[in-house]
Amino acid sequence: MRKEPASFFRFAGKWFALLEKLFYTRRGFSDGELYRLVCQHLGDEDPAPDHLITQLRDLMIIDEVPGETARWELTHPVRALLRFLLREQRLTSVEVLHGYLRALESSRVELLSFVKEGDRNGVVQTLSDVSETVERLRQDSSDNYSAILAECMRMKSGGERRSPLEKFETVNRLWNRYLMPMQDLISVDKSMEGQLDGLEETIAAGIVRFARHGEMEEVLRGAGARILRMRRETVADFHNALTDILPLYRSLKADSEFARGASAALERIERKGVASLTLDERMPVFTWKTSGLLSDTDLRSLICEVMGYTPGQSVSINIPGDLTPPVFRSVDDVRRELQGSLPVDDVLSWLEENCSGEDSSNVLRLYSGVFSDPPGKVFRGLGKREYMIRGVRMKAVPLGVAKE
Amino acid sequence: MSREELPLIKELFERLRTGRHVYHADGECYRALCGNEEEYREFFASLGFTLTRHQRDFFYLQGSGGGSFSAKAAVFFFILAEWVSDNGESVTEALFESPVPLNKLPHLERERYRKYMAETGVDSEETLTNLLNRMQRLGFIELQGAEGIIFREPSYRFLDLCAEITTEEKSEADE
Repeated sequence: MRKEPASFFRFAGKWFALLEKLFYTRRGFSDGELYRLVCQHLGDEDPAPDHLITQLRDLMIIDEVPGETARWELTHPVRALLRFLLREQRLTSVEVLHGYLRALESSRVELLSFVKEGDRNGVVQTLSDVSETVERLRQDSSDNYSAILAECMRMKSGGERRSPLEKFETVNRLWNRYLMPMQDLISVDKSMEGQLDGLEETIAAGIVRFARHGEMEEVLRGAGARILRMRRETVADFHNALTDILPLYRSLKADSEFARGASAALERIERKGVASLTLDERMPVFTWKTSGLLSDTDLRSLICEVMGYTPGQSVSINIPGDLTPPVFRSVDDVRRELQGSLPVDDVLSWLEENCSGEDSSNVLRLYSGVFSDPPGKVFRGLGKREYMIRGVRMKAVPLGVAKE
Repeated sequence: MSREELPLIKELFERLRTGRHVYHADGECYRALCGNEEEYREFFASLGFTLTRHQRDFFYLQGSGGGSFSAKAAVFFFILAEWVSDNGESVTEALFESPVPLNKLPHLERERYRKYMAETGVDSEETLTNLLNRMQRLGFIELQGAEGIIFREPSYRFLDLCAEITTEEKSEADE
């Protein structure tokens, strides 16, 4: 049944405080709650509560909650109006926005066909649908921005006592659920751009087709202007939302990572101990290490001691005139000789025989030198054997060298 | 510019060699370092040390590990970060923008936290105070008398550590 709009607005104007209260009572209200709320807003001169409740129902401001008795809620159109008036915008998912685009695409196909047929009535009706969808898209995009902004402001004001993790999850949801898909939607190479281009081309074709009909051109140009405005504002809404949410997203992301990291570190300490985190290696702090340095006092005292020192008589050392420096055989020479004799089963015995001028310590020096870079493939003998080299008895497992 | 001409070289050398982090609160020293960063980097490199500038614009000499201070200070920080977050506050805001009262520090109050601190050798008021004093000397925190402690930019090294551990946890979870 059609209601008189003026009656509705008169009522809403007089009882707006009550409507606002009903709007924020999100879970609906029972008969008793409704009665109490109405009574709170009545003055002495006002009609009885029952009369007001009847008016609320007659004007279709409230309706029964489906499936429940004696429980009421605001009707959907009134809730939407109050949401708009109270700037309590609701987020619209990208799926819904995609639905608008699908509707626009089907309108485009229809419009193209009417333009080709020269059906002016069909064109006007289709453009009316297009304008309706375009305005909804524009409004929902703007509401999305407002809702994101409101959430950001709530977070920044610190009014809500939520942990950084919870805050981050909320912002992260806004980011992933609304902003990023929106970016996909408005990207120049994505669906919205292509579809709207197609629609604008169809409208342009219509303007050419109906060039002789001034009123048609006006309708077509009007629809084109609406699309243009919606495109411009949708992109602006997205960039504004991004500008507001990005710093918050980054800071909460970092903060939640810090909190997460700290708890993870403590959890690891609980399981594996502090050492498992190797904290001193991960975050070393510079330490100055000194050793063997004298302090100024120590140095001064040493100098004082030295100041009174008188050297004693010089000590003379007699050097025998026939002293000749010892000549050691080079390991490289011996290695070359050994290489010429390969295979050798026992290198130590070989050295004993071939380095007759060397004492036992030099034989061992050459033995060690040869194996530091053996001239062939080294192999071990079986069991230890005894050697007597220049009067020194020693035991060793024979080591031999074969050609490679 | 020769070494002798480097401004405040003696003061800066003294600060950095003791492990102190030089940040904006160091005033003239900080400005001298910022203004001659490359020259100072070369100077310290010639002595075998690495001068590091953190992305948060503070300086320190790169350590080589060893010692137990880092573990003590890091565990102290982890506990505080978890505690602040559990109280619904932002870690960076709560620790870096306002002082944490000393009598509210949870480290020796809760059994779990006491256990973690004890593992690093901090098991009494005295050892905790020693740790805080050392952290202040190195530039990580500022003790503000009765008001408590406030963390300074160099403590972002602890936050880096937290972020690093989060990344590790994520990689482990992905595997």
